Amino acid sequence: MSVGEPTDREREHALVVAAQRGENEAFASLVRLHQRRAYAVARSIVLTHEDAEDAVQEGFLHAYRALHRFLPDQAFGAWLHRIVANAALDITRRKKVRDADTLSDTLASPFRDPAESDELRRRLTRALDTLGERQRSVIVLHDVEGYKHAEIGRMLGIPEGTARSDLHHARARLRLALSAIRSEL
Amino acid sequence: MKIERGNGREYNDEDVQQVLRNLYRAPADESYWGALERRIMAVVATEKPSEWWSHFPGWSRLGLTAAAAAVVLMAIATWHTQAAEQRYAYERLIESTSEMPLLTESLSGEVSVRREATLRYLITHD
Repeated sequence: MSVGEPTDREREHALVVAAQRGENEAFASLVRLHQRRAYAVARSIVLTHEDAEDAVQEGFLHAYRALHRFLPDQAFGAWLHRIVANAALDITRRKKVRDADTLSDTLASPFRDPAESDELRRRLTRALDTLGERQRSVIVLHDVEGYKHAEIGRMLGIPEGTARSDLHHARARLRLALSAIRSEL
Repeated sequence: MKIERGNGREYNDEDVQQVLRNLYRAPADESYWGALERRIMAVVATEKPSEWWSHFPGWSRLGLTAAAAAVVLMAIATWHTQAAEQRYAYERLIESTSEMPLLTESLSGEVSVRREATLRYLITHD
Protein backbone atom coordinates (compact mmCIF):
# COMPACT_ATOMS: atom_id res chain seq x y z
CA MET A 1 0.00 0.00 0.00
CA SER A 2 1.42 3.38 -0.92
CA VAL A 3 1.80 6.22 1.57
CA GLY A 4 -1.34 8.36 1.82
CA GLU A 5 -3.64 5.66 0.51
CA PRO A 6 -6.55 5.21 2.92
CA THR A 7 -6.63 2.00 4.94
CA ASP A 8 -9.67 -0.28 5.06
CA ARG A 9 -10.52 1.20 8.45
CA GLU A 10 -10.34 4.77 7.07
CA ARG A 11 -12.49 3.85 4.08
CA GLU A 12 -15.03 2.24 6.39
CA HIS A 13 -14.96 5.31 8.65
CA ALA A 14 -15.66 7.55 5.65
CA LEU A 15 -18.54 5.30 4.57
CA VAL A 16 -20.06 5.36 8.06
CA VAL A 17 -19.87 9.17 8.23
CA ALA A 18 -21.43 9.48 4.76
CA ALA A 19 -24.18 7.01 5.70
CA GLN A 20 -24.86 9.06 8.84
CA ARG A 21 -25.33 12.11 6.60
CA GLY A 22 -28.08 10.14 4.85
CA GLU A 23 -26.20 8.85 1.78
CA ASN A 24 -27.85 5.50 1.04
CA GLU A 25 -25.14 4.52 -1.45
CA ALA A 26 -22.61 4.65 1.39
CA PHE A 27 -24.83 2.42 3.50
CA ALA A 28 -25.14 0.00 0.56
CA SER A 29 -21.34 -0.18 0.46
CA LEU A 30 -21.32 -1.04 4.16
CA VAL A 31 -23.87 -3.79 3.48
CA ARG A 32 -21.62 -5.11 0.67
CA LEU A 33 -18.59 -5.09 2.98
CA HIS A 34 -20.21 -6.78 5.96
CA GLN A 35 -23.04 -9.01 4.77
CA ARG A 36 -20.97 -12.21 4.55
CA ARG A 37 -19.70 -11.96 8.11
CA ALA A 38 -23.14 -10.87 9.29
CA TYR A 39 -24.62 -13.96 7.62
CA ALA A 40 -22.02 -16.19 9.34
CA VAL A 41 -22.89 -14.70 12.73
CA ALA A 42 -26.63 -15.12 12.14
CA ARG A 43 -26.20 -18.62 10.73
CA SER A 44 -24.37 -19.74 13.86
CA ILE A 45 -27.38 -18.79 15.97
CA VAL A 46 -30.45 -19.73 13.92
CA LEU A 47 -31.21 -23.18 12.57
CA THR A 48 -31.89 -22.48 8.91
CA HIS A 49 -30.42 -20.59 5.99
CA GLU A 50 -33.69 -18.68 5.53
CA ASP A 51 -33.75 -17.54 9.16
CA ALA A 52 -30.15 -16.40 8.81
CA GLU A 53 -31.13 -14.27 5.80
CA ASP A 54 -34.00 -12.74 7.78
CA ALA A 55 -31.69 -12.04 10.72
CA VAL A 56 -29.16 -10.34 8.44
CA GLN A 57 -31.88 -8.17 6.89
CA GLU A 58 -33.35 -7.24 10.28
CA GLY A 59 -29.88 -6.60 11.67
CA PHE A 60 -28.96 -4.17 8.88
CA LEU A 61 -32.32 -2.44 9.23
CA HIS A 62 -31.82 -1.98 13.00
CA ALA A 63 -28.29 -0.72 12.31
CA TYR A 64 -29.63 1.79 9.76
CA ARG A 65 -32.17 3.10 12.26
CA ALA A 66 -29.56 3.37 15.01
CA LEU A 67 -26.79 4.72 12.78
CA HIS A 68 -26.98 8.24 14.22
CA ARG A 69 -26.14 6.81 17.65
CA PHE A 70 -23.00 5.02 16.40
CA LEU A 71 -19.68 6.76 17.09
CA PRO A 72 -17.65 6.46 13.85
CA ASP A 73 -14.35 5.95 15.72
CA GLN A 74 -15.58 2.56 16.98
CA ALA A 75 -15.34 -0.68 14.99
CA PHE A 76 -18.44 -0.78 12.79
CA GLY A 77 -18.17 -4.56 12.25
CA ALA A 78 -18.23 -5.42 15.95
CA TRP A 79 -21.21 -3.09 16.50
CA LEU A 80 -23.10 -4.53 13.53
CA HIS A 81 -22.38 -8.16 14.48
CA ARG A 82 -23.80 -7.55 17.94
CA ILE A 83 -27.00 -6.17 16.37
CA VAL A 84 -27.25 -9.08 13.92
CA ALA A 85 -26.66 -11.58 16.76
CA ASN A 86 -29.51 -9.98 18.72
CA ALA A 87 -31.79 -10.13 15.67
CA ALA A 88 -30.91 -13.82 15.23
CA LEU A 89 -31.55 -14.54 18.91
CA ASP A 90 -34.96 -12.84 18.58
CA ILE A 91 -35.84 -15.06 15.63
CA THR A 92 -34.70 -18.16 17.55
CA ARG A 93 -36.88 -17.18 20.53
CA ARG A 94 -39.86 -16.72 18.21
CA LYS A 95 -39.30 -20.18 16.75
CA LYS A 96 -38.74 -22.23 19.86
CA VAL A 97 -40.62 -25.23 18.52
CA ARG A 98 -38.29 -26.99 16.13
CA ASP A 99 -39.04 -29.73 13.67
CA ALA A 100 -36.13 -32.09 13.11
CA ASP A 101 -37.47 -33.29 9.75
CA THR A 102 -37.75 -29.75 8.45
CA LEU A 103 -34.22 -29.16 9.67
CA SER A 104 -32.85 -32.07 7.63
CA ASP A 105 -34.58 -30.76 4.51
CA THR A 106 -33.19 -27.29 5.03
CA LEU A 107 -29.65 -28.53 5.35
CA ALA A 108 -29.90 -30.23 1.99
CA SER A 109 -29.67 -26.78 0.43
CA PRO A 110 -27.74 -26.19 -2.82
CA PHE A 111 -24.96 -24.52 -0.84
CA ARG A 112 -23.90 -27.70 0.98
CA ASP A 113 -21.06 -29.96 -0.07
CA PRO A 114 -22.61 -32.97 -1.85
CA ALA A 115 -19.49 -35.07 -1.16
CA GLU A 116 -20.03 -34.89 2.59
CA SER A 117 -21.35 -38.04 4.17
CA ASP A 118 -25.10 -37.61 4.50
CA GLU A 119 -25.27 -39.83 7.52
CA LEU A 120 -22.48 -38.02 9.33
CA ARG A 121 -24.04 -34.68 8.55
CA ARG A 122 -27.49 -35.78 9.61
CA ARG A 123 -26.20 -37.13 12.94
CA LEU A 124 -24.13 -34.08 13.62
CA THR A 125 -27.06 -31.86 12.76
CA ARG A 126 -29.23 -33.71 15.26
CA ALA A 127 -26.46 -33.46 17.83
CA LEU A 128 -26.23 -29.71 17.21
CA ASP A 129 -29.96 -29.50 17.72
CA THR A 130 -29.60 -31.02 21.19
CA LEU A 131 -27.15 -28.31 22.19
CA GLY A 132 -28.47 -25.16 23.80
CA GLU A 133 -28.71 -22.27 21.34
CA ARG A 134 -25.85 -20.50 23.09
CA GLN A 135 -23.53 -23.54 23.00
CA ARG A 136 -24.28 -24.06 19.33
CA SER A 137 -23.60 -20.43 18.55
CA VAL A 138 -20.33 -20.49 20.47
CA ILE A 139 -18.96 -23.60 18.74
CA VAL A 140 -19.92 -22.36 15.28
CA LEU A 141 -18.55 -18.87 15.85
CA HIS A 142 -15.31 -20.30 17.22
CA ASP A 143 -14.66 -23.41 15.12
CA VAL A 144 -16.20 -22.27 11.84
CA GLU A 145 -15.86 -18.49 11.83
CA GLY A 146 -12.67 -18.26 13.88
CA TYR A 147 -13.84 -15.70 16.43
CA LYS A 148 -11.99 -15.50 19.74
CA HIS A 149 -13.69 -16.22 23.06
CA ALA A 150 -13.71 -12.54 24.04
CA GLU A 151 -15.28 -11.51 20.70
CA ILE A 152 -17.94 -14.20 21.03
CA GLY A 153 -18.64 -13.07 24.58
CA ARG A 154 -19.18 -9.48 23.43
CA MET A 155 -21.34 -10.58 20.52
CA LEU A 156 -23.63 -12.82 22.57
CA GLY A 157 -23.55 -10.70 25.72
CA ILE A 158 -21.91 -13.36 27.91
CA PRO A 159 -18.63 -13.41 29.90
CA GLU A 160 -15.53 -14.71 28.08
CA GLY A 161 -15.23 -17.58 30.60
CA THR A 162 -18.79 -18.70 29.80
CA ALA A 163 -17.99 -18.74 26.08
CA ARG A 164 -14.91 -20.87 26.80
CA SER A 165 -16.87 -23.31 28.96
CA ASP A 166 -19.74 -23.50 26.41
CA LEU A 167 -17.24 -24.39 23.71
CA HIS A 168 -15.77 -27.17 25.82
CA HIS A 169 -19.18 -28.71 26.56
CA ALA A 170 -20.39 -28.35 22.97
CA ARG A 171 -17.33 -30.14 21.61
CA ALA A 172 -17.73 -32.95 24.10
CA ARG A 173 -21.35 -33.49 23.05
CA LEU A 174 -20.54 -33.47 19.35
CA ARG A 175 -17.75 -36.01 19.83
CA LEU A 176 -20.23 -38.21 21.67
CA ALA A 177 -22.61 -37.89 18.73
CA LEU A 178 -19.87 -39.00 16.37
CA SER A 179 -19.01 -41.95 18.59
CA ALA A 180 -22.62 -43.06 18.26
CA ILE A 181 -22.09 -43.12 14.50
CA ARG A 182 -19.03 -45.32 14.97
CA SER A 183 -21.06 -47.95 16.77
CA GLU A 184 -23.55 -48.09 13.90
CA LEU A 185 -21.08 -48.12 11.00
CA MET B 1 -10.23 -36.68 22.93
CA LYS B 2 -10.15 -39.11 20.02
CA ILE B 3 -12.86 -41.57 19.09
CA GLU B 4 -12.33 -44.70 17.05
CA ARG B 5 -14.30 -45.07 13.84
CA GLY B 6 -15.65 -48.37 12.66
CA ASN B 7 -13.06 -48.53 9.86
CA GLY B 8 -10.16 -48.08 12.27
CA ARG B 9 -9.68 -44.31 11.79
CA GLU B 10 -10.51 -41.84 14.58
CA TYR B 11 -12.75 -38.80 14.85
CA ASN B 12 -11.22 -35.78 16.48
CA ASP B 13 -11.94 -32.04 16.84
CA GLU B 14 -10.66 -31.37 13.30
CA ASP B 15 -13.19 -33.85 11.88
CA VAL B 16 -16.00 -32.14 13.79
CA GLN B 17 -14.74 -28.75 12.63
CA GLN B 18 -14.69 -29.91 9.01
CA VAL B 19 -18.27 -31.14 9.09
CA LEU B 20 -19.39 -27.98 10.87
CA ARG B 21 -17.73 -25.83 8.21
CA ASN B 22 -19.59 -27.69 5.50
CA LEU B 23 -22.88 -27.38 7.36
CA TYR B 24 -22.53 -23.68 8.04
CA ARG B 25 -20.72 -22.59 4.91
CA ALA B 26 -22.02 -19.31 3.52
CA PRO B 27 -23.27 -19.29 -0.07
CA ALA B 28 -20.38 -18.86 -2.50
CA ASP B 29 -22.42 -17.55 -5.43
CA GLU B 30 -21.76 -13.82 -5.99
CA SER B 31 -25.23 -13.29 -7.45
CA TYR B 32 -26.70 -14.49 -4.16
CA TRP B 33 -24.93 -11.68 -2.27
CA GLY B 34 -25.95 -9.10 -4.85
CA ALA B 35 -29.57 -10.18 -4.43
CA LEU B 36 -29.32 -10.06 -0.63
CA GLU B 37 -27.83 -6.55 -0.77
CA ARG B 38 -30.67 -5.36 -3.02
CA ARG B 39 -33.22 -6.94 -0.68
CA ILE B 40 -31.69 -5.19 2.35
CA MET B 41 -31.48 -1.84 0.58
CA ALA B 42 -35.09 -2.15 -0.62
CA VAL B 43 -36.19 -2.47 3.01
CA VAL B 44 -33.90 0.37 4.09
CA ALA B 45 -35.33 2.61 1.35
CA THR B 46 -38.83 2.29 2.82
CA GLU B 47 -37.60 3.86 6.05
CA LYS B 48 -38.62 7.48 6.65
CA PRO B 49 -35.87 9.98 5.93
CA SER B 50 -34.08 10.94 9.11
CA GLU B 51 -34.92 14.16 10.94
CA TRP B 52 -32.34 16.90 10.51
CA TRP B 53 -31.07 16.48 14.07
CA SER B 54 -30.48 12.76 13.59
CA HIS B 55 -27.57 13.58 11.28
CA PHE B 56 -25.61 14.74 14.31
CA PRO B 57 -24.02 11.73 15.97
CA GLY B 58 -24.11 10.96 19.73
CA TRP B 59 -22.65 13.78 21.81
CA SER B 60 -23.36 16.46 19.20
CA ARG B 61 -27.07 15.77 19.48
CA LEU B 62 -26.84 15.81 23.27
CA GLY B 63 -25.02 19.15 23.10
CA LEU B 64 -27.60 20.60 20.73
CA THR B 65 -30.43 19.47 22.98
CA ALA B 66 -28.72 21.01 26.03
CA ALA B 67 -28.11 24.29 24.14
CA ALA B 68 -31.74 24.43 23.01
CA ALA B 69 -32.91 23.81 26.59
CA ALA B 70 -30.60 26.59 27.85
CA VAL B 71 -32.03 29.04 25.28
CA VAL B 72 -35.58 28.20 26.33
CA LEU B 73 -34.71 28.64 30.03
CA MET B 74 -33.03 31.99 29.31
CA ALA B 75 -36.08 33.16 27.37
CA ILE B 76 -38.38 32.19 30.25
CA ALA B 77 -36.09 33.91 32.79
CA THR B 78 -35.93 37.10 30.68
CA TRP B 79 -39.70 37.17 30.29
CA HIS B 80 -40.13 36.75 34.05
CA THR B 81 -37.65 39.57 34.75
CA GLN B 82 -39.35 41.93 32.30
CA ALA B 83 -42.77 41.15 33.76
CA ALA B 84 -41.48 41.78 37.29
CA GLU B 85 -39.89 45.08 36.26
CA GLN B 86 -43.08 46.25 34.58
CA ARG B 87 -45.15 45.30 37.60
CA TYR B 88 -42.73 47.12 39.91
CA ALA B 89 -42.77 50.23 37.71
CA TYR B 90 -46.57 50.19 37.60
CA GLU B 91 -46.81 49.80 41.37
CA ARG B 92 -44.38 52.71 41.90
CA LEU B 93 -46.44 54.84 39.58
CA ILE B 94 -49.65 54.05 41.47
CA GLU B 95 -48.00 54.64 44.84
CA SER B 96 -46.44 57.96 43.81
CA THR B 97 -49.74 59.42 42.45
CA SER B 98 -51.55 58.63 45.70
CA GLU B 99 -48.82 60.06 47.93
CA MET B 100 -47.92 63.21 46.00
CA PRO B 101 -51.04 65.35 46.77
CA LEU B 102 -50.75 64.55 50.46
CA LEU B 103 -47.11 65.54 50.45
CA THR B 104 -47.90 68.72 48.56
CA GLU B 105 -50.70 69.52 50.95
CA SER B 106 -48.57 68.98 54.01
CA LEU B 107 -45.70 70.94 52.50
CA SER B 108 -47.97 73.85 51.55
CA GLY B 109 -49.51 73.69 55.04
CA GLU B 110 -46.10 74.02 56.68
CA VAL B 111 -45.17 76.94 54.43
CA SER B 112 -48.36 78.88 55.25
CA VAL B 113 -47.86 78.33 58.99
CA ARG B 114 -44.33 79.75 58.71
CA ARG B 115 -45.61 82.75 56.72
CA GLU B 116 -48.27 83.45 59.31
CA ALA B 117 -45.73 83.23 62.12
CA THR B 118 -43.46 85.65 60.27
CA LEU B 119 -46.30 88.14 59.69
CA ARG B 120 -47.36 87.98 63.36
CA TYR B 121 -43.80 88.60 64.40
CA LEU B 122 -43.49 91.63 62.14
CA ILE B 123 -46.85 93.08 63.26
CA THR B 124 -46.28 92.57 66.96
CA HIS B 125 -42.60 93.64 66.98
CA ASP B 126 -42.55 96.85 65.22
